[in-house]
Amino acid sequence: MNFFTHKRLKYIAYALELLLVFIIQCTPNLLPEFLGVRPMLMLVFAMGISMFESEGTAMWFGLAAGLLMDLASAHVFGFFAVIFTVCCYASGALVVFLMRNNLLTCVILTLGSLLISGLLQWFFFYLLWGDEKAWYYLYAIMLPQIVYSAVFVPVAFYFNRALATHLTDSD
Amino acid sequence: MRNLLKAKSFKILIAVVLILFGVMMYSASTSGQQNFLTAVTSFITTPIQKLSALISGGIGSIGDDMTDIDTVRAENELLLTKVRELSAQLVDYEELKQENERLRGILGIKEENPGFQFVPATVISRDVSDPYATFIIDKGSMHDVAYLDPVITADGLVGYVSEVGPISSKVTTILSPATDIGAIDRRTLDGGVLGGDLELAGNDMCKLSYLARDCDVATGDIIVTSGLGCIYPKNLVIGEVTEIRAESQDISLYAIIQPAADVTGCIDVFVISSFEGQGAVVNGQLADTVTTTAE
Repeated sequence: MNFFTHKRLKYIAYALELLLVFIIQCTPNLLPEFLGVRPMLMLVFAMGISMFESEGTAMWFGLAAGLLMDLASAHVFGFFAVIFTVCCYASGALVVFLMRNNLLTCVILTLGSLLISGLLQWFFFYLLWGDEKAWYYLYAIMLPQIVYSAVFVPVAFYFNRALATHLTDSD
Repeated sequence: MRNLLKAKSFKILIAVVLILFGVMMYSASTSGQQNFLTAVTSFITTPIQKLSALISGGIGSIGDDMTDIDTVRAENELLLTKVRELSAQLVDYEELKQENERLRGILGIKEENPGFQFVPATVISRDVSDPYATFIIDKGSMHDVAYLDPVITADGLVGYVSEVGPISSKVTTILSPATDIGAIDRRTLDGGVLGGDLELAGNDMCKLSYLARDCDVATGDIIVTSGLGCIYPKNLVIGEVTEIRAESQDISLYAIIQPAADVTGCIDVFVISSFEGQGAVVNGQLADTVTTTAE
């Protein structure tokens, strides 16, 4: 019995991919800033994985990506895990049941997830606390971060498509 | 699609989300300490992050080296080999010089304040979702780092330790509104409270609030910690006043401060794990570590 089936290899590859993206995202001064912000690569690549997996599998990789994100986050632990888990599950389900699996769908779903994540951060960490500069967060931080992150969507989509097609379970 | 709501995966999703809400509640109730899950995973991620931070720094210095050599090559191709050697030496020299200046700065602070105990640390991770430049350092409770310890560079104050794990700690910077530091103008001794502001943080600035209308604070003045509150030692340099504005909601003034330390770009920092008077008064209550201090 071979432990390294295509399916398992694919999952190991996804896990390594998320770990690598986490390191790239968090390493100080590695990614250049755009309008003072850095991209949220973890969500982009987790969404990329969810495009090629069932909603159940997508959920677990969303959870892993969210927990990694929470490790380096200033916010309460578990915040990103909840968002990423739900977004990846929804993305996986939408692609399976409703939408066509192509780059445009990936861009739409990832932008939607980035928007949801940004709006929830804005609501819970700025608006709810009565921060008088809460609106500044929306246009000066959240919007540039969504735009910057969206640049990496094609990379995440084609990379994960290559992984999924080359490591399709044929055992 | 309707079947999806009855699917096993959907039920698992609901269970996972509920568990995560529980984790969030627990995390929120344990401020200052890493939760169990974070502490365990940090044993895996911290060494990897340390390595990547090291590689990242290495790539940066290689880039500087190449630029230097290219410039010299254009000036004198005949001395190319010699210039390469000299450039390499120069890079080493510059690195040593910078390190020397950094350590000299810290030594100066140490000489002025013999009671300080320093823990040198490296920034291993920065939070991309936080506009206040929160970062993680590679030292934790196993290295005598504790909750609320001040974090500095040779240039000045950077922030404080807001969460401690066994081998890593989270640092909240002076750009964050979560920071409240008693600070004074070194020239005029006018006092205020230093904290962050979302808009100013985007320009790597912070603000000194609650300045009296008739204060003498002026542009270019140096702001230092007052020592009040006993969380930060007295006379740590915070930064320089760049502008003074009137508050919109009351009659006080506030000053915009350019931090002396490179808060968003610093790599090597020092945690002050102990100083005279540390923790003497926290949250209005007397702590058990009261020592002699001039505050």
